[in-house]
Amino acid sequence: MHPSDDVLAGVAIGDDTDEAVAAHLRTCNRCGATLDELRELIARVADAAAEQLHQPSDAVWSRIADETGEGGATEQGLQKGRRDEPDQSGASDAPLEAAGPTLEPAPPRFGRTWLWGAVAAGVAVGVLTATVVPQFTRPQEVVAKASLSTLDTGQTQGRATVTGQGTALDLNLQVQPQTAGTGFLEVWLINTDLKRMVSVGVLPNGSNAQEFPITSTLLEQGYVIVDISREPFDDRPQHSGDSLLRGTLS
Amino acid sequence: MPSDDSRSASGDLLAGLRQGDHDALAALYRQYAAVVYSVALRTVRNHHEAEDITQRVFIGAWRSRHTVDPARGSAAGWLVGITRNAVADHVEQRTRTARTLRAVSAGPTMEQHATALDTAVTDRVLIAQALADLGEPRASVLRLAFADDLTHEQIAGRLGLPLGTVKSHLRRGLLQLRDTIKGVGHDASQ
Repeated sequence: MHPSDDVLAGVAIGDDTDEAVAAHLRTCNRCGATLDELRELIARVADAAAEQLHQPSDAVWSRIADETGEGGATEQGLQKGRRDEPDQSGASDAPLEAAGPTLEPAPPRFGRTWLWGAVAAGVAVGVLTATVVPQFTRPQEVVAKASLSTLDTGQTQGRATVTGQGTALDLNLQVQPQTAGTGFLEVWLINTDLKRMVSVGVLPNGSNAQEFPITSTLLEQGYVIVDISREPFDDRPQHSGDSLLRGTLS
Repeated sequence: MPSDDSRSASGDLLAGLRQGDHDALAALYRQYAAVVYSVALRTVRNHHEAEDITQRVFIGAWRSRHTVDPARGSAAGWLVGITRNAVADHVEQRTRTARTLRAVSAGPTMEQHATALDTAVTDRVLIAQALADLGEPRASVLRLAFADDLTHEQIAGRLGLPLGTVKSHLRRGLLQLRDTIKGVGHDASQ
């Protein structure tokens, strides 16, 4: 009998191989081919892992929506009313390899040792992208928004939108469910000085959307970096340093 | 955005697009704008031009929606095919303009350069996207194992996951990637 794909994947990643499976693999061309395919894929992933994905600016979708008609989508695409922002994808006319990690908006001088360095027990800090995911259904007035990315790999896993009017605002998070491990997930607004921060609430474990009341004063004072951290149950109210997602509101 | 069954989701999008559903175009854009733009950017290395190409690709996708056959291939494969053509057109036009301006044609042309770059670039970008779509912590587990060559024990320690969980992420993630990428080689146009 042929081993399952799961077993073959185990062989491909270098897990200890059962003797019966090993014997089968020596003679079965079909399973040998599957194994080769999986090993080749591992090599391709190794090659591609550092590839940075960039988001085009919002204006691109607006132009596409204009050109392809269909009023509804066009209005929603344009509704954001944002001015063209400086390109934040790290892209420019310069060779891409030259585009290094950028930490925005504050100059990267403050002790990242605990805030970033300690992140995820030593996973390298990646690019903090603040690219904006196009939004198509957003009835309320959007004051500011940010895409939320992992700190280690710079991968966009959610977005934050601030909606409302006047001083009472809502911070809406839409994220891929994050794992809290043995702790819980806490949402923070970090000041651009990277020194001050306020906790805005707890994100239920496994939740993918949650709203938090905030005030416009916070944003005016520079608390614009949305941060989701994993906090242990340790009676220490301060940030654990274990940030999962982050993005800067703009 | 990630989905558990990217192939059938991709098929639904193409079917919607074929029927003239503009929301399907918006959904396609959300899902693949980064792939198209990143491929273009890698090749032309200018973000304005890459945005122009991205725009042309999605407008082109909308206009040629009748030629789409979800049974024949994936949305990603189809869009990458359109992107490849758009990039080639762009580069050809740029080369022609440059030639006209300078009236010389010495050295290897941009066109040849771009074509050589293309397959490797699209492959890498598509895999990077598929990897990202695995979600966390699975994507990081795969990156650390395959690209950074960490042992499974090291990954478990670094991410605070049980060793068995790390191995299970690796096995399932690898098979998920294979399934996602499988459809990509096939262009969904008729």
